[in-house]
Amino acid sequence: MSNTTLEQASGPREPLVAGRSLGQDAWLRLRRNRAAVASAVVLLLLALAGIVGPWIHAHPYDRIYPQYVRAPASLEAYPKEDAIVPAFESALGRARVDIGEIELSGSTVRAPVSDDEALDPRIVRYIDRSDLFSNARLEDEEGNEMMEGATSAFMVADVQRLRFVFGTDANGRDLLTRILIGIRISLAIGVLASMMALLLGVTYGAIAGYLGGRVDNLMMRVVDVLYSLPFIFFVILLVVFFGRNFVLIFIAIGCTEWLDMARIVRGQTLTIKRQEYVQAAEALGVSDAGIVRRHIIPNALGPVVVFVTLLVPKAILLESLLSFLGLGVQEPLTSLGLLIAEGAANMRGAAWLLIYPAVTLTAILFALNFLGDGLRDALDPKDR
Amino acid sequence: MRGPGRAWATLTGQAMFAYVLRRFAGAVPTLFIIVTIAFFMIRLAPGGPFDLERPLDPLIMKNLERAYNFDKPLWQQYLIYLGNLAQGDLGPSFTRRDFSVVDLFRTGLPVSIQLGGIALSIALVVGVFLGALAALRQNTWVDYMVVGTATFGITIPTFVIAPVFSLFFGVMMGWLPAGGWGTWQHMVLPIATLALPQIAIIARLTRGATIEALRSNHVRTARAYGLPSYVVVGVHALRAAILPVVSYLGPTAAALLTGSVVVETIFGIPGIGRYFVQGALGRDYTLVMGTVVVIACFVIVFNLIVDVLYAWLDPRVRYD
Repeated sequence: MSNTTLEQASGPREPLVAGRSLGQDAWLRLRRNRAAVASAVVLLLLALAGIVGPWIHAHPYDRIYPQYVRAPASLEAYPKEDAIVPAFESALGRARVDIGEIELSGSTVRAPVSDDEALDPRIVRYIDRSDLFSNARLEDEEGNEMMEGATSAFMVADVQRLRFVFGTDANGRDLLTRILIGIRISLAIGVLASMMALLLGVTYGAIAGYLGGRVDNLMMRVVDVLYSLPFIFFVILLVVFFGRNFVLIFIAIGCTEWLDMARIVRGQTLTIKRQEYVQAAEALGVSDAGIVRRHIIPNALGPVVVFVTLLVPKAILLESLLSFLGLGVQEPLTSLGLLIAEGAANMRGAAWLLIYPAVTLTAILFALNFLGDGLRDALDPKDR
Repeated sequence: MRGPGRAWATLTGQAMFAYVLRRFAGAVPTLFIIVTIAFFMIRLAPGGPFDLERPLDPLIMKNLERAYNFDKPLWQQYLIYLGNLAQGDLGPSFTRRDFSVVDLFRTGLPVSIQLGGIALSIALVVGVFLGALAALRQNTWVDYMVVGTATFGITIPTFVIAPVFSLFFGVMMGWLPAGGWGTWQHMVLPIATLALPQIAIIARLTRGATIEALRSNHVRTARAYGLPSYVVVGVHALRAAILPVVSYLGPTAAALLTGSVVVETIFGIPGIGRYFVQGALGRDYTLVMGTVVVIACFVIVFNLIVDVLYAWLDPRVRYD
């Protein structure tokens, strides 16, 4: 009889319920949250667009098309059909030659030109200089290259078709590329600034909470004083006085956002350090630094992760605000805040300049917030 | 019954008075630290208020520096500034000649306070109402509407709302002026821009706290007494539910009343919200310092008001 029980106990029996770790549990709950999953997908796509997009896209973000200033957003290619002939005429007019009738067939323009003297082949540059045409050449009637010294020929040029899906800005740069660059910059600053705040806040909070007593008091007093300073102003001061560059901006934002993090981590540390495993580590003679690194920080990480996901949109918002005030990244580089500011300045008659960047930024912020909420629900054991 | 009750009331009155006095005394060193840090940060930064594209004549520069005490060592300038500050003199503005910083605030602050105050009142009333409504109709379409709208309002930043409002209502529809200052029509869009995010946040805070309060013992007791439901909700539940809103309102009120850079820039409003950025860019030392001092004062005063209100709303909180 004892044999059978033993056999049953040690027999190859599958457990009825597989054990799940906390992480798996959280992951499952996150996956069940449809808004969070959708947000994660949107974010991934946007991040991908921001990283890869500017390389793939046809227009460099700092290329200026002087003839397409504030071209409205359009799925059709520029130039519009009825704009080609007048543009060709005005470009050719600078060559100071007699121009015959201009004819447009497909994507080539052709016009007879003649002059009293021999035609200078360099006049093709007047056409090439235009954003609308490329590959300008002088031909004779059969379509061969013009003979040197001829006084009449045909000016032929290909129409250069360009697409500005989101239109162009007030300087004639493609808005879509600029938005892609803006996504890249905004996301990068959001992530880097949050990492900065994470590093500062976790270290500071963990040390203050673990050491306790007078040191804790002093360190938290410092945080209180920093809290009462109007801190967005100090970001502005830093940026104004130490120049505008990418690195300084995310350091400045990180420096303003670590205070909350320090408080959260300190609170966590205060409860964790009374746990038995910490006492056990102390009894084993582990150094203070070792306990903080191996026991305190890993166990305080749950709420920290949640807080970081909510910190990223805050940092993006702060960066956009700085850019909006003209204190962010410098031209020709751009960020979403800067694009919105430019859009606001140009909204009369060029509404697309405001609408597309605004929609992009809003989408990013929404996705991050929903993902953050989802993570909080998944990771916070209180709401089970 | 009545005697001890009155005695207790006067005692708390006295305690409160002492508490307020103590807090004001405590505010002086805080203000002092803020002023000191701001002063030295600004002065240690490169550049100066008289840096122009074309350098000034050295003699003129010297005279200017003497006139504004820049030729003295920094610590002396600091002491002079502190002395003037104690007498309520914030100094002359460097970028807006002929104006003292106090003059600038005297004309700009009422505008900002007016806008911020109205926005704050609207946000408070509408936000608390919507939040309480959502909590009472939890998990119905009313609730989902409020929560959804609130998420929207919290997520979209002011510098997106402001130009979009201006574009839509001002430029496209032509219903309201797209910017400027003067009539009540000019105030509608800025106030809406300022109030919307606050409505969203307050509604969310109120909703969460009301749901919690409706489950609490004192509300159940009030129900058991057979009190009408508007008394239960309006007096007993909301009194507890408004606590997180009150503590949120402290810094928010200070921020709203001292003007928003974004709103004032986009709608072209002559408030004080723009002074800090403009002052910092133009190295207008006194204007920046003045803004820091004014905002710090607002923050300190409103935090104090919040703490006093908190203790009044929640009798378990004691002044100590």
